[in-house]
Amino acid sequence: MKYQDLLQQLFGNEINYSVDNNVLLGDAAFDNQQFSLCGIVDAAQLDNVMSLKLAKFILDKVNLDPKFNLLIFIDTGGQKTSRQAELLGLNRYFAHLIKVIHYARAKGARVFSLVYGSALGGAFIAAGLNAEKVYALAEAQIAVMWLEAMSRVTKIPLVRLEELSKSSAIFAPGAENFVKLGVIDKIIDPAAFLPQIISDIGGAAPSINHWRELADVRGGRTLANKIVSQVIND
Amino acid sequence: MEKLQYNFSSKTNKLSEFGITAGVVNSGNLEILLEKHDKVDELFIEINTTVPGFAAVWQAVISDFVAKYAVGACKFTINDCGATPAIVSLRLRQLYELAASGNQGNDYSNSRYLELNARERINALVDGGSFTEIMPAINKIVSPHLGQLDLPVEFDDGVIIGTAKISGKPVYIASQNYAFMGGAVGEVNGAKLSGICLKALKDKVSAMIFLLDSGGVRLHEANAGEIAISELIAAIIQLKLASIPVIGIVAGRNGAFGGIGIVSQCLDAIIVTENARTSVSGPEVIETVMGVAEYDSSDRALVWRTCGGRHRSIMGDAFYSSKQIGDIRQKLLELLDKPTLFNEKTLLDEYQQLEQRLIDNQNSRDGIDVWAIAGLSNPQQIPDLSDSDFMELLK
Amino acid sequence: MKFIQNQLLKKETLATASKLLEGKWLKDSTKLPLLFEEIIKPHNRVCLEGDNQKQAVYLAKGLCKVNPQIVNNLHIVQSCLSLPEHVEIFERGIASKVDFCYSSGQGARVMNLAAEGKIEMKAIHTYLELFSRYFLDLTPNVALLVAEKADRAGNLYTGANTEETPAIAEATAFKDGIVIVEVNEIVDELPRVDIPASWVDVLVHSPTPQMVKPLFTRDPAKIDEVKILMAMMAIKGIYAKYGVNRLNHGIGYATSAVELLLPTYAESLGLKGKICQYMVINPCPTLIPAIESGFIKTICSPGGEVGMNEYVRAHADIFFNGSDGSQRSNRAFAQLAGLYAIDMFVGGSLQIDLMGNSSTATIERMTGFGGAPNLGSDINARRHSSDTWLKAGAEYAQTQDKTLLKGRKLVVQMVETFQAAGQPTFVEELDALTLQKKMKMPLPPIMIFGDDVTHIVTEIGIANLLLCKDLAEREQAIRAVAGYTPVGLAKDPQKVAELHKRGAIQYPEDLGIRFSDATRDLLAAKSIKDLVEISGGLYNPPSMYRDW
Repeated sequence: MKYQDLLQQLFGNEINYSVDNNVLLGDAAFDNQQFSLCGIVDAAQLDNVMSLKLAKFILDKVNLDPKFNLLIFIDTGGQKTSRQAELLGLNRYFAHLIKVIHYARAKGARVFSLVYGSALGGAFIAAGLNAEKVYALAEAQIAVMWLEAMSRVTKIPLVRLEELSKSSAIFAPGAENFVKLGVIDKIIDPAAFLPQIISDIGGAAPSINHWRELADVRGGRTLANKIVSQVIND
Repeated sequence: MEKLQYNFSSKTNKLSEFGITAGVVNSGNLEILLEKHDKVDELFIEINTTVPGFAAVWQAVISDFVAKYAVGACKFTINDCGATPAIVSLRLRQLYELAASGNQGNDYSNSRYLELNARERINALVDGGSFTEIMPAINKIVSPHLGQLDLPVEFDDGVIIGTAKISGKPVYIASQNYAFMGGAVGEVNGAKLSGICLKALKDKVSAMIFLLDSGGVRLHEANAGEIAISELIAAIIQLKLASIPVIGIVAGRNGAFGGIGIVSQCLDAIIVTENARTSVSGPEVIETVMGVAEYDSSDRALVWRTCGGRHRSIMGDAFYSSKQIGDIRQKLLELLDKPTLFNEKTLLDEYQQLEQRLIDNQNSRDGIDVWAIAGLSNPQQIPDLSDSDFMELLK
Repeated sequence: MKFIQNQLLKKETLATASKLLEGKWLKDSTKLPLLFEEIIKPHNRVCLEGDNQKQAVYLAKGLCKVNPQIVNNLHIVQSCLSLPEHVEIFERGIASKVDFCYSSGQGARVMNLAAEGKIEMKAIHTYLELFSRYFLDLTPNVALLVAEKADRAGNLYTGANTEETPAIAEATAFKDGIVIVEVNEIVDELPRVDIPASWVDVLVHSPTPQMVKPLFTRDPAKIDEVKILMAMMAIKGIYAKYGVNRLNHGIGYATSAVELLLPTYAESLGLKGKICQYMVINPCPTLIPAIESGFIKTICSPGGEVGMNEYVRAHADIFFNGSDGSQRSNRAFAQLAGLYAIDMFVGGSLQIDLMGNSSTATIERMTGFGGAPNLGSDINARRHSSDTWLKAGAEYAQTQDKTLLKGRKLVVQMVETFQAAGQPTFVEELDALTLQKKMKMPLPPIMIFGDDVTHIVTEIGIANLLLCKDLAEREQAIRAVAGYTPVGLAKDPQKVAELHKRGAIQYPEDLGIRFSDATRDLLAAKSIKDLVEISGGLYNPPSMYRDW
């Protein structure tokens, strides 16, 4: 879905945003709640400049009033694959963005993300996955690596991977798999998204074990939750 | 995969340690786990191997071993990844010697970090005898996903976690095993990493230490690995918010790439050595996607100028140490004594530093350009300086 | 006039080609294929210089572009088929016959073309044989060579990687062949003259430097405990026992381990000045610690090694360097030294059979021989005696109940019992025999013959074949060190015990070596970076070997 259509559908006229260098920044209102918006558009690769821009937007909001609502819209083709980006320390830029989002959450911000396009690799870790809850549209494309590439790197025949991906959510692309694994709270219609967020805001933020617990219940990751609690209580 | 099981009669052992392992599950290598067996005059051995059809050879190798060493009342479990008989004999003997003497008393003062395995690295850095492993190999909590793909597993899934002391202070520590699947993160080892952080938070220890050595996400369980890394980051942030120092060391063979490259920069500080490398995408990935003109991954000097330990420390993303274990430990002690703050001001400072870096380096195409802008003289000679000369220059 | 036909032909050919030349220099480099079409005749013997390390890449690319209607059926006579172009000329019908020594990297392609009948394989030689035959019946009509620098007159500087260029140039130039040389750098004054201009007919300015491969660089990080154990056994059980001072090392990790144990383990045994003083070997970086510690007095190199030039220059006492200070190598002389002057060859192999015959040929690849069959052979001709040679000869004479008339050269194979899991080194029958049948060769491509081999070192122990009375004993000695390979498992324990008692088989414990002592801490350098540091920064490894 194009971000223009999505935002129009979500907020109608109650929105003010800009897109520059594939970074979306703005403010909007719905049902008497104010929202700050940020995100990545057009399946852009997340680079140093973009990460910094997102981080600054959030830092400024924290400075203004730490108790704010933030929606992160995700459509990214992954991390910027360039020597220049890595030369200047892309991992530090990503980490900075991550720290800023978590810091905002710690200071009382309510942060949610919505995957409305692609969410690939390191860029998903840097942005969307730091929200308290992650939602996805039905059309979302979520992957660490596509199966063809995975087959090439692991030298496991593609047929075998395809066959196994029918029964296991653990490695194959697809938003449904990330639901089973507990990361995506639910696949959601655009129309239902903001009401869901309003309801989330009405309650407390989920615990740090939220994903693992969901994964256990949904059967996507059966070991993670047990191992973590076993280690904590060792 | 083929599973073989044998019983050998053997004199009762006088071994002192059980639950230990020798070797690593890596091409041409294997891991052996030692456990107690209920029959005193018998060795029970189970082998899981990726190279089927060599039962007679296994039997011959182990018979010879049993004839030389008393290993009754022992159980050996082997995860084999194509080891030759020479390596099998070597590991069996190493396991025996380790079990007979233990490794707590080893002197690592002249060792090199790079040469040590994940467990040895911990023992070399912490106070002698202070390390207690949590969820050790004997618990056999292995990746269920590798088995589904007919791949060998390792009993600790490639990560060692536990409690220890450094200069008498209680710390928790995690060490990635670069040799097992490149140190990559999957469901099980990722949960161990998150678990030890959350335990550190609960127990309010003096510091959490990560010995990172990983290519990132384990592709065979890619989604679970990516999520585990995000969960780990969330746990690390909790430690930062609780003002518990979180320090990393990137000085191993595989460096810190992909998600682990991102994790490394979420810590309070990392210590790097000359051989360290860290970034998000590895050079091979960038070359594959963008072409050899963008990044020639076989030009290793270029790789190190782009993501090597010296480059990262010049830019201020890491603290530099020589490769000697004593120096790394010394650096670690210094960092533990220097708490890092995590607040709005430090984030704003970091923002300004990173913004300035982009402004300064608009035309930088190589590490040498970056070092020149950082004001270092003779930047092209930096890779060839000795550690001491380089550290002098950093001051 | 009847016996100067070649002279006349050469004059005539160069006269026709002169329209493309300015003096000896090709005027327009795009005309290189045209030049070849003028100079090279169908059925000519051509050497397209491919050495062990350096390659005439530019001329090779040019030869691929000639019109096969004009230049065809060439008979290629060169040591190494290593560039894709070396094979492409056969695919394109420019060449049809070959005499060579080995085919690094192109082995599978060479074999397929031979099977298709596109390559007529005349013979696979050793270096010395091929160089010798350049001076008898395989003299090149045209030699396409490579030099680092030339002056305007055409004098050549071939430097550290001189290798076999002088041998080829001499054979060609003095028998009225035509010598064409590619050079990258043209200077007013050469550092020194390695080949005089009067041997050179045509020069071509190549836009790129000659290609040289770092074939002799072994990363100490890859040496494991098993190889260290083998190296310890070899040092104590062979080097020290026979007092070996003149020797050659192959390029495997086991011999690199020996080199890196010299300043540590061997020195602790008091062996400095007693072993390893004179070596025929390329300037291998793993020799640096032994050189620095004063173990080695002289190194005679068949070639150079990438990154070692400055180190060699600063160690003129050890290496053979020119008046300009830089190294000169000469493969022909170094191979001769390896055949006649050394007392021991130490190498490795992919397969060894029950008689000790060894081969690196596999069913998929035709690799060839290079220098090992000469270096690793005992010569029957008269030679100087040395303590080592006499001691080995005495052991053999005693076993055979003979009078001592001559000594023995030590020919040592250092191999692990398995190359990889399920891939035994010791076999009942070499793949070379299958290959012989497949390629219809007169003899199997055996690298080193069993009757020349004196010792086999594996992680199990040392088999001293000099102390084996007959072939049956030799077989049992080999089985005894073959470990858990099918060959090893089929040993006769009683016979092996008897051989062990007699010293024909030695296990580590017999030498007072414990496996647990074989640790990487014994290595004088554990990484390439260590080698750089020990060299005082003079060793400048190629980028592919750096991890800093």
